[in-house]
Amino acid sequence: MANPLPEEQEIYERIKKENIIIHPLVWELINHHIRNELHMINLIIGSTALDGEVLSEENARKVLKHSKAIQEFFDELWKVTEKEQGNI
Amino acid sequence: MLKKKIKLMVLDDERDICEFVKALFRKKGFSVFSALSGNEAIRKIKKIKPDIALLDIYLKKGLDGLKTLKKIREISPLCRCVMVTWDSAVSKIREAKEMGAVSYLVKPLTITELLRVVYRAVSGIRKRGK
Repeated sequence: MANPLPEEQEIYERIKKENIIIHPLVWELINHHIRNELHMINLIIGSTALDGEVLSEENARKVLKHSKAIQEFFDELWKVTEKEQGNI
Repeated sequence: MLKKKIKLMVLDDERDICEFVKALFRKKGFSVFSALSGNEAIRKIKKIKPDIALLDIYLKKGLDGLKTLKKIREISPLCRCVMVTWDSAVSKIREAKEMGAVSYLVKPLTITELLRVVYRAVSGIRKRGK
């Protein structure tokens, strides 16, 4: 788990206070891509751990493929929303 | 190990997911087959008559998971259908339950959750005396 940002709690409070929301279309993309990729990673790692096995090279490559897909999704989302981001 | 081989079908347009679920449940003694589309699932269900079906809702082409669920309920009403999707909308969960889904799971799942829900379905089948 990534360490929280120094002012992470303040950011959450600001989001809540200022009612900053994410458009439902963006949520749809996030849910579809991230949840599906995480699901696959969970299955690979989970079944390996459950059986007390060592992660095979083939499965390690699959995990990398799905984490790369997450990265590519965020890159694409950033690219199409960049203009609207502005400065926080 | 299971007393009698339970037939399980997984419907997901992601090939890796199908392969993993197949491998996982075969190790547990299930007879498992997969489909990458709703239409393929319906063809296989008519032939194989699974006891349990794990159905993704959003599929790239053809019938979606809910339409597939509806067809399964007509073809094979005893099949226990579990929806597995990223969509946690209450309306979608209600719709699936009203159409006869026994469970609704939101991705990402842990292996433990997946096993728990499938074994609960197996328990229901055993109680039914199949």
